[in-house]
Amino acid sequence: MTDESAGFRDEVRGFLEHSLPSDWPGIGALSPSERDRFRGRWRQSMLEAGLLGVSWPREYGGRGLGVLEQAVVQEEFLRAGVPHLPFLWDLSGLILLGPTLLAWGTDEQKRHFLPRILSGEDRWCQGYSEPEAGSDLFALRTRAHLVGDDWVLNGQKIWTSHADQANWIFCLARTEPDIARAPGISFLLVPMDQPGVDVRPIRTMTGEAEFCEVFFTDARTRREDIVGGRGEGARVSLTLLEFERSVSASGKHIGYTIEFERLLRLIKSSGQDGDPLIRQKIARAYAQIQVMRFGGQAALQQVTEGGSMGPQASILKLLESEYHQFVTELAMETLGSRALVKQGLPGPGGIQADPLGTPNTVSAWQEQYLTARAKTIYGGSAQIQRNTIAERLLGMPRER
Amino acid sequence: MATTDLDEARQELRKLVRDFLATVPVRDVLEGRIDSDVVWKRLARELQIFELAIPSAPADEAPGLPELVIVFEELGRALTPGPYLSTLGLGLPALCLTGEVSLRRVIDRVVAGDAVVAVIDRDHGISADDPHQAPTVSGVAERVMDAPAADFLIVPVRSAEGVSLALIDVESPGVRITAEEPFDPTMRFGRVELSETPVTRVGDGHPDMSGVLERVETRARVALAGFHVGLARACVTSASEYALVRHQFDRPIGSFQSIKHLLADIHRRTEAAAILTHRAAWAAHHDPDAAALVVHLAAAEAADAAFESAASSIQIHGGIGFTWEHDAQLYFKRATAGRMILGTPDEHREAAADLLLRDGVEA
Repeated sequence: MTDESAGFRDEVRGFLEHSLPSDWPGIGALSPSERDRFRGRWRQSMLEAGLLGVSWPREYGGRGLGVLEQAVVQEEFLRAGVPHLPFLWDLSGLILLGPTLLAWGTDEQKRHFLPRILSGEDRWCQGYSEPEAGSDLFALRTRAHLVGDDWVLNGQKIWTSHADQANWIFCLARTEPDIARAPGISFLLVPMDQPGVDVRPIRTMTGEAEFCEVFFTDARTRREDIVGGRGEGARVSLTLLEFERSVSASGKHIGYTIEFERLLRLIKSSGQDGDPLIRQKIARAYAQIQVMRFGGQAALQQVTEGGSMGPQASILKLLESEYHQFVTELAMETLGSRALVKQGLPGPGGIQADPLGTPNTVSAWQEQYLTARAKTIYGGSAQIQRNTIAERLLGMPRER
Repeated sequence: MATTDLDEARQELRKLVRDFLATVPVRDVLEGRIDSDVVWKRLARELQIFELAIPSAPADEAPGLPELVIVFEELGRALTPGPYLSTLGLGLPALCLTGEVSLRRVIDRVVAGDAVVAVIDRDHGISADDPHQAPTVSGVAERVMDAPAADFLIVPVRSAEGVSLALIDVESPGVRITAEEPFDPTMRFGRVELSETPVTRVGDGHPDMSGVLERVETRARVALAGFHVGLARACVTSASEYALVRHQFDRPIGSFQSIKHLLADIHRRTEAAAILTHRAAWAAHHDPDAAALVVHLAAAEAADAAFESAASSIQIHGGIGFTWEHDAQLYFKRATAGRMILGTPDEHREAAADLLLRDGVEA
């Protein structure tokens, strides 16, 4: 397994060595404005080196390699303290939509959209959840109907990450008014730069606006900008959720290990490395990282051998989300009364663990502590994951 | 060997052991319809799996601890009574790792299923009568696992040179073993009284007997973790099956989220423990000197998974799970006992934290 990708790993390491100064401390050490400037430059270097869309076919601008090589980029970049998905919208474009188009898209859609994802010309966000359709996603109400050669959309999306930075949204809308629930839903690609699309950021408990509401009022997109057929949106979106959970499973532990190392330093520097209760939690936390590591490896192997992660993904998703709450609670407990006030710069934050170089500040831990609360809610809540595990892995009957 | 070949070989081994153990239900053993000594001998002779407990050279491709863990998973699933942990987890590796050629005959007898070895742990009350000679030992050790079934006892004794092992044939003079009534009926314990008992000292010339004992304990902890994973899986399976057939409010109770979430939690904790345990087996087999951390983590998580699964299984079974007739109680008692053998989960986590704070982590 490692042998096949060894040459590619050398290439990636060579790229990192060549592109970063020898005393590179990790992107976490940069100031917020330096970080933003770095992201743009870094994305361009990745693009030129052919390290974006590594697993996509060459004809669409990718490298024509496999999932394994994609995982290598993620691993090596995390270790080096540089982002493998430079911008928030890269997650939506490169990890979510790209593979979905490869699986479901027409030739024309692939030829048109995939290179524009790579170039960064199209910056995507995901429009799934609605105010009345959260865990019960397929209860969604946003409607689209054909007027001439256009779909016309009306409705409201919510919890759309970084919609304020995106110029395209892929979304689920009800195109078959006579068909209830999942079979009435289609997967549409909608340009956001039009009067019928209104984006309003939502300020969350962290004080930042990571998510937005998106309102469609007679928003339009071309008739052919549908992925899969009419009424196939639910199936298309399920493939996509699978990608969302499986692709990064193999590298997650690296980011969390970097964070955990920072926590060990915090515990030592605050003189609490002798506290038996803290020590118990240290061991509990690290055990979970190791499960992510070896469980992720097994998942990657399964996907490489042509399988899919399937409902097993729910186990890792649940573990990761609860782990991050546990470990950030441990950090706050370690800080004790120091956590009553903000101090120092926060890290880059976001949904990933803070990267290499992030200062070991009170503010950085406070922000991660708050962000972690969202992890058991988005992408299928912890309760939905438990339903999935019970129903699909243990054969329990569905409710109702 | 390619990964898939290895996986296939392990699946075959699992099936072999599982199919055999299905023919010797724990109830039949506990109620005397099946003799556990016969089960022990048949596992040795017909399935020939005891050799898996012999430590092989590091990085050796031959089957070993990772395969032994599969055997222990199946023993845990079936809750098969017998001196497996004491003899295959501790005794046989201890005999082998001393490197003592004279033990060959004893080792052969154990592998053939003809001898049971009980190992007395380090904090016992037995000492050499003459620390410079130690031809005889005396003292009392209580709660020695599988002592009532043992043909041989191994006692670590302090000598002038450090630690060495004393091998005792239970037929020797001055040996008195009294069975103690176990909390968990699938296990056996005994009080061992030794009075000027002659011993064979082994590993006297070994430069690091203390290290040998640590390796032995590490291997036994991996085996026990495997046992706990199998035990936990059996509880998840049994509770899941029951949740499908038991109806209340005109529905199977498995359709209620309160039950589903209990099941989901024990299932995922068990599978997480299985991932750690398999990794621990790999590490202890291929890189024993660096295995301690993951072995402690696996031991703690597997023991907890076993306990939680056994406890939730009783809860999901409801009243029937509290009865003597139902096996749920056996799994619960065994899972409880397992937490007190070779270190408690808290002790394992403390040891792991010590290593983490001392050595740090690398991404």
